[in-house]
Amino acid sequence: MNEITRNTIVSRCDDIIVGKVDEDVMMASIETGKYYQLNPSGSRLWDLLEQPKSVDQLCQLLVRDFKVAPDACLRDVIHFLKEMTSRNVLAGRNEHSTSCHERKYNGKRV
Amino acid sequence: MSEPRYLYRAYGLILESQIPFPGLPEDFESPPDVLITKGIVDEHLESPRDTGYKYEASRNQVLINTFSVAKILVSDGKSMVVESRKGALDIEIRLLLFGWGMGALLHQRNYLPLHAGVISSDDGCFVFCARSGTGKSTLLSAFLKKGYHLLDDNIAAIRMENGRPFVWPGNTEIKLMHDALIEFKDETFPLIGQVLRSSSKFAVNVSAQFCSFPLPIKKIYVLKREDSTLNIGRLKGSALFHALTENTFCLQYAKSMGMISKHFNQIRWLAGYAPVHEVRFSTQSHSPGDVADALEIDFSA
Repeated sequence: MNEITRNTIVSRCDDIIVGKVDEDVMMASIETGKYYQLNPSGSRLWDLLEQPKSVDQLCQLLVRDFKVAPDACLRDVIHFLKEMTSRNVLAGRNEHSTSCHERKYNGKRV
Repeated sequence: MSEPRYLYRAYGLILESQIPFPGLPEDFESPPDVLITKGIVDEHLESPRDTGYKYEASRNQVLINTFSVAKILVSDGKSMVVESRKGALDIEIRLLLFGWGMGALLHQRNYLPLHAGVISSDDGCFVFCARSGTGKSTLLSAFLKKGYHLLDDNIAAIRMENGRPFVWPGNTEIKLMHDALIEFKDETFPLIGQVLRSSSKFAVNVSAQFCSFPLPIKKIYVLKREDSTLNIGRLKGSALFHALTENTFCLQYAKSMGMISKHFNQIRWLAGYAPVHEVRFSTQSHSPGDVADALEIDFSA
């Protein structure tokens, strides 16, 4: 997706598996075959996305959990979401934008 | 005239093969799990799911295709069909079958194969993972001289048994560089010959100290050769996960067959059962015997 704003609705992509190794949260993309590690705030954000939420809703919850300034939180969350949506781990939905599922089947791998 | 058939046991499987594998223990009693046959193999799979370096894969097949040695079609964890290229040597075909071919087959049969050498000790085994050229086989030869037994010098074929990770034994040969060979070969461990004409590796028969039964894993060591003091440290969390992932044998085949979820869970499961240590050493400063001595102390730590 092109833009992530306060109003973007964020959700998990379907083909991601997540599990802990000791205290670290690891994830794998079944589509790309890549493995990732989530830091504590990324891990919390993943947990919060059990149901889709707007960026604003996510920031409100993270500000409360991590006691960070709202502006800094918004900046970090948008940065994280851009990275995760580019890797098809999370999907962001604005009006007229595509989901990770639709993008996936336009890609080379089926 | 029909092709001769050989029966072997390797990695907990009975192999019925039209190609002889002199390094494998024979087994004439059990029904075969895997058929290795000579035949015609198409240049491509009909509808590959993914392709990579010298292979194509679908959900249940891997086609390995090298220009100078052979095409090998590995299907359903049950068969390997080999069509050799003109001029390919039998030893080259055997190496390809027991390297990449076996890697694909073990993934299809839901093993977790690590690129590792394995030795036995009493009621368990120690696994030594390393990239090619790290000195894994030379280290194994140092342990054999100390009296340990070998399960395999290249693949740790891991499977869950009674809720614990076990390694199944494979080949009774160890492949050594010339320098290590001079120190190692004797009447107990006879030289078989040069692995390839173009290679400086030599095969040695270690059946006198071969462990022919599966054993539970006591510890896994990940060998790293670098300019450092000899250091052994336990891996945890993401470092542990990545070390086991990077040392998974033929992981690209598992990914291309769509088995990433299975592999992810296998790694997490293994990480929860077996302690994994990283071993840093320098070949300039530490002989294989030095490293083996330090590891032997760590075995019981």
